[in-house]
Amino acid sequence: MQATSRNPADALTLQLLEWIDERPHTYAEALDTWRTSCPRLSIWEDACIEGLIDCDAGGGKIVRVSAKGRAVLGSRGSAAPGGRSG
Amino acid sequence: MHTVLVFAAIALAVLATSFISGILGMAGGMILMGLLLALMPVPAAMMLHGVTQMAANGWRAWLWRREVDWRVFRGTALGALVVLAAFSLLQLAGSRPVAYLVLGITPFASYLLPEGLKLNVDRRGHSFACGVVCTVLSLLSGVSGPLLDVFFLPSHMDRRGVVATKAASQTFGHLVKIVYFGVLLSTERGSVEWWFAAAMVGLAVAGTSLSRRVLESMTDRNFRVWTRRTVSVVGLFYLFNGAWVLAHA
Repeated sequence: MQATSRNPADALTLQLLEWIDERPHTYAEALDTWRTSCPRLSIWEDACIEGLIDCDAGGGKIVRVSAKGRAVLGSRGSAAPGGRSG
Repeated sequence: MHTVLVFAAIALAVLATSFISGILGMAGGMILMGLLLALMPVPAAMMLHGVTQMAANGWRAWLWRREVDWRVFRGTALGALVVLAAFSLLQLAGSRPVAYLVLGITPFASYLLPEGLKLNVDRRGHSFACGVVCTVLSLLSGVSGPLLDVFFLPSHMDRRGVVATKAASQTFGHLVKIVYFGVLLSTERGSVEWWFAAAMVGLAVAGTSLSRRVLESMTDRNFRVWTRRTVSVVGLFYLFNGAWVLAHA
């Protein structure tokens, strides 16, 4: 499940999950960082639809990797090229 | 009275679209451009859109300035300047229906690109190509975001680098748009009162701040889910609008 064999969107999804997993991010921060107006590369939106991300209901709206997202992260191979997260 | 109403409509459009953009993360700039085109002459719409978007992107680029990949920025800026020179030489200015058509096609342009191109600003020459393509789109329709993302998203820069470099490149792109339509286009030069432009920048900031408050209290997950369709729906609307006007001209 290495990102090298995936399409660019899959590699970017991994990168998004790693970015979220790295440290707590607010919903607004995630939106700022992953915003796109390209319908072909709607990485954030697709991850939400697939249930890879959870969002706290409380104040601050912290986004987290969901159990399903964690499974995706866990099944990835060694260092993905898209894995250099900020 | 008519002028007052137009100014009020523009102010409302800026406030509403910056609010939408703050919540959805997309489509705000596209919707604003379409509304401005409906309310103002093309050069003035391009200038006002450029000022509000340059302020938003410029602020983001300034905050993240240490993360900007200057090699990539130089490439996109050089590409933008080459297109600016070409447009200035040819004095190209699209009509309103053409602007709507290009605005409508832009979100779908990424689907038309062959997979084999593997566009990525990391690759040699691609940042220059990105500057060229995005500036052509920007000078014809006012926006270029969807295609810019095709070049930037696959980059192996870290996320801060992508956000910062994209913001710096877009700031420069909007500056090019303002210079072209405000200074270099001699046939139908646009102008926007400085106080009005400043007020619109203030409203854009207010709209974004308001959206942050809504984001904080938002609990409905589905609210986020449908947002990706927004750009496609808006694009289709503009496409049909432009085609309709051209067909009935």
